[in-house]
Amino acid sequence: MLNGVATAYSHEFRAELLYELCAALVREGLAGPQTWQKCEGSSVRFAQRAILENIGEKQLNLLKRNVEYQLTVSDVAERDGEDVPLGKGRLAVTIECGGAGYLKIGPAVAALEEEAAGLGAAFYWTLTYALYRVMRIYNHDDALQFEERMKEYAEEDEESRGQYEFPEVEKALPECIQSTLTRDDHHAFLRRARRLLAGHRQYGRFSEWMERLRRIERLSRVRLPVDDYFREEGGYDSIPLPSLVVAFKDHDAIVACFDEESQYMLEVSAEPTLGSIFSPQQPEEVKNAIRAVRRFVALNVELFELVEELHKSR
Amino acid sequence: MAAARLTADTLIALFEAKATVPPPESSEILVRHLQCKESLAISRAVAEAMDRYAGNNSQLLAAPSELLPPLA
Repeated sequence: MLNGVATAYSHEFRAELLYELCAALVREGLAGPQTWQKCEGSSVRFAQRAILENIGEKQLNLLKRNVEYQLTVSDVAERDGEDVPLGKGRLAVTIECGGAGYLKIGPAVAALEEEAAGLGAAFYWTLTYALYRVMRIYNHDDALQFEERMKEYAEEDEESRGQYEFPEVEKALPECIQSTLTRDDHHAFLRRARRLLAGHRQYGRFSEWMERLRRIERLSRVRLPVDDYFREEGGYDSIPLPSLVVAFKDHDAIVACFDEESQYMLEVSAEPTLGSIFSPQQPEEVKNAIRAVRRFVALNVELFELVEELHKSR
Repeated sequence: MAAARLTADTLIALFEAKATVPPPESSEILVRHLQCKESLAISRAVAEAMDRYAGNNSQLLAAPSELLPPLA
């Protein structure tokens, strides 16, 4: 009875951009005839396959296990909550984070402090500063700020001031982190931390962690800027959603603060974690977009390999 | 195009050729509808009505009496 009734249909709208993207992917060596043969004539499938094959199956699985990233190539970008065509033959590649990864770093910090005084703190702060350069993370600092805001609300709320419960974030931090929260000479601290880490990189139980941290640091120094279009014209309500929650213990004060704050994070529009606009007909712009995505993936692969190693060592 | 004869250059040429072909008429009609606010509003209304009645023990949609004359 339903014979002859269409069960699916598709339509083309600015399809020339898709074909130009496919041509650009071939020109840049990301895909070729072999990939096209597997796509049964579908250009959408070709573009998807080219991107996924270049990320690599092992890396994709690692990222899928740890975090929720969504990579999109589109001819529209958000502006004040509406999708607006980019125009002028341009496309945008964006990566958005829909679910943060989780790092319980407390046991690793404790093990490193046992190995050498100050090594745990050096590892924690070096990783933290490296990640600050390239992605939004939720850590002790966000939790401390949340606690401070709660205290301000409580002070203003004369009627039910006594009913507020505060997470007491500082008390939940390991002693080595508490003692380094405020430092007279930040640069001198970082220099000492770098020397300490370097001394444990060549040999010892933790040399692999140190080596991975060094690679993360190096990758973080390569800037992965979000295109100005997203920051200045996107009209987003907030900065990107956190890609990683860093806590010291399961269910500690940092996790409690994140649970509270994250309830509202998805209610507002957030900037993409990565956003790059390019014209598929401009090889330089295509190269820049590919470079941005490659570095993003490389850094996240190093990060989540480190996360899995640190969790294994508990 | 046979796999053996296909090279990167011919593949690029294939995509470039596809990019210059105008979209089929059926696509253009659909795109016009997708860009029309009234079309989108009515399709949303139909989809919402279907959601409301779907899986409801095959209950028939209630006919709006003000639009349909009563049966003799």
